[in-house]
Amino acid sequence: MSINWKDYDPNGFYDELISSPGHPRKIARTLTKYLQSLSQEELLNRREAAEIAIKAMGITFTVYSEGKNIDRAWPFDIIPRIIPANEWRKTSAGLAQRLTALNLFIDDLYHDQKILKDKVVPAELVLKSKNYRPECEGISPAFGAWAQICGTDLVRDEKGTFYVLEDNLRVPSGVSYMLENRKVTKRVFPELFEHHNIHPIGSYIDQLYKTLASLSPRKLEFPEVVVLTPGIYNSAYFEHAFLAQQMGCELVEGPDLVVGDDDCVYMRTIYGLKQVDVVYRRIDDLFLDPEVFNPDSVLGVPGLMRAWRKGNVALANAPGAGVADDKVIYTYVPDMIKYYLDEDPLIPNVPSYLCMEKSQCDHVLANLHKLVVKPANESGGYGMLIGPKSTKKERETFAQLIKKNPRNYMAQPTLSLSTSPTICGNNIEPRHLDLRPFILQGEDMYVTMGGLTRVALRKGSLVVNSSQGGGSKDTWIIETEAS
Amino acid sequence: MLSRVAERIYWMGRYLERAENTARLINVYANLIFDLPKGSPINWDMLPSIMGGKKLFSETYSNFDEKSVCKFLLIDADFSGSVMNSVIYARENARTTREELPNEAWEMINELYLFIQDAPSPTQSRNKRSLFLDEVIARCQEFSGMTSGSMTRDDAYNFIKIGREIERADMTTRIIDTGATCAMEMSEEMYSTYEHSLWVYILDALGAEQMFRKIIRDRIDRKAVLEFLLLNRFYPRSVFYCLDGIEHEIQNLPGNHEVQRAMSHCKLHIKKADLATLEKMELHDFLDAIQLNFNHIHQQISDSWFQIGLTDQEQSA
Repeated sequence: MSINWKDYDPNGFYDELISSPGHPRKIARTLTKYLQSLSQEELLNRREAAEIAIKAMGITFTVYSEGKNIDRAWPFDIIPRIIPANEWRKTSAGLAQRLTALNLFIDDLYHDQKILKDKVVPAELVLKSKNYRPECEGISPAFGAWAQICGTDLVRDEKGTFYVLEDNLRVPSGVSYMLENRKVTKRVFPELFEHHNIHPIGSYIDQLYKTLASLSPRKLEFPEVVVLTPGIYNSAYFEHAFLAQQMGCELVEGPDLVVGDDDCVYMRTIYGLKQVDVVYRRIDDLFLDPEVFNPDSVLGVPGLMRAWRKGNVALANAPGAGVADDKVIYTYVPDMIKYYLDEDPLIPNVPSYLCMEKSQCDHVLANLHKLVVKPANESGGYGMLIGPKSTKKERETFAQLIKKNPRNYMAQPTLSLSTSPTICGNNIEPRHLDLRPFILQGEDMYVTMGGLTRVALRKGSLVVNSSQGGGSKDTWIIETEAS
Repeated sequence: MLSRVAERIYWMGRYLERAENTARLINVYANLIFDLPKGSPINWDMLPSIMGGKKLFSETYSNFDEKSVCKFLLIDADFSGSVMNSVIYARENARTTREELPNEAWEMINELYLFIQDAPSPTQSRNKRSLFLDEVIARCQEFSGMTSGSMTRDDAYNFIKIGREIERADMTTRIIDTGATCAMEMSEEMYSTYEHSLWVYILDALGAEQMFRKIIRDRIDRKAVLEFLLLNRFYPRSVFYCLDGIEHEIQNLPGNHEVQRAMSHCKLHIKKADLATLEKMELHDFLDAIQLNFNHIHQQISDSWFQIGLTDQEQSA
């Protein structure tokens, strides 16, 4: 028995492939027809082939469980998610617009603070943020880019409009899975690539290297770029090793680097000390340099901040960029776009309530059962309250937390996240998903073609994080006119 | 190559070699003991001291019998030289340098680790122990074969090889030392009866008996065995062969001068000894001195390539 799309019901949510039972979207017709041509058995065989490929390619992520670190195979759904190229071009422009404004904002904060003086963003909010780093004041990273690598999470509502859910400006991860997902899909459904005009995504690695190299203080043909990892126990170690290997750079740990008396950064190789120009660091600010931040950090490099401030090394992302990666500051991004660029935001924010504003806070407290409450500075989906799925006790706990520290919380209405057909057990069912494109800003700007689609594998669930039962899909940007 | 990566790869090579040789030593020591008459002074409790774990062993175990010694040397979690720990350390080093190694390297070491975790306890019976030891030896050999058959001769290969050779040389001297130590324990009468078996056993422990007969064609005695295991330039477990191997691997490494010097010093030390007269205590002391030479070589390797750019403070830490 093969798939009958008449049995597939998106239940009123916006579905990426099927507009209503039996009616695939125009862009998805080749795919849905092809899937229908496969018997159930064949479809499940393909899924198995994908699992084997993922194991053989060693695509893993690390979870910390029962006191041990376990490498798990990357959970992947073989049915791709499709976005029309013309829609993507608009979205892509919106993402570039957003990162441009965010970098102008960060640069302003560490220099003249015009936006605070003009009271567009409350000064207190920024200066008291735990991600504001006075140590960064007066520094001017190349091209005014503080967040050179950004992962922005997008979701669609029930009408299919894209909204920005959050901007990840510290050490966003996931791009290696975006690239590996495509390789797996090519192995599993090679025939589909013949009949579609799917935009390739593989240039990300070159673009990343180009962006990083453009930051080098020394103008060399081949500056020394390294990837700095906290080590094997980090959940994204696979990605760190992957990116280093793909770019042909060294994967270094803190103790591999040393800052000399000349305030330059060197790595320890068997051939002696070798100067490093650009550090793509995948370590949080606070662990970066024990001389300046957490003195107990063994992951970082003593003197790294000194070398950076002297302009002898580039750090990506720059320390202090995280100040704009705060769920409360997030609500001001549309204002920033207006303020710095005099443009309207091309992609809207999800409507949000700030608990620091008395009237909004009262609304939040009165409607906890309907809202999603997020702490300002957590990532990975931790520390959130999902109102409609919460117990009375959880809501009471959150009400206390909010009253105690209103600055630290914001709330959003529960979104009707879009869905896409996903293999669940032996059937195909709708599952909710989001999208994380990656945006690079150095000498030039670059937006990935699509991004990493994360899917909540549990029925009805909205939590897409891989540490909490999420999976992923390949994301296709398809050119329509040419077909 | 990063110094840290080189160091981890070097230790991965050493630990695997250590696991293999410890397994060999136990396997053959058992054979020797079975051949000796009941009530002989040769006991299992000599092995921990030869493996540098005498103090820890006597503190942790009340019974110094075969079972305790085997448990200590094979699976004791507190003894850093146990076969299990050697494999765990080798795996940890491989895990953090995967991007420099062929995929099979990691897979083989991981499978060896899983085998040791899942295998029935080797101290349950002599039969289980023997199967366990054979499997460990075979898997380590498989790893050596894979690396030499499939790796580009680059920095990574150099450091695996250097680690393997220095550990192999060191373990050869320890295995010879079991002979010297047994001889010390024996009465004159027993020694004259069993000396020949003792040296056959030493060759056997290194899997060298057949090679000895093929190359030396002479009867097996102490001097001939010492010459073979220390000075032979063609047998891969002899100390000189291992040292030649290290010299070959370091040729293309930068700043190898100090290591070269340490190697020459060690070779000279062995060459100028009068092997015919060395036995019992003198032989034991001589082997100890060679091991100190190896430590010195290791120190020079570490200083030349692993400790690049460390401050004095960091080095002392």
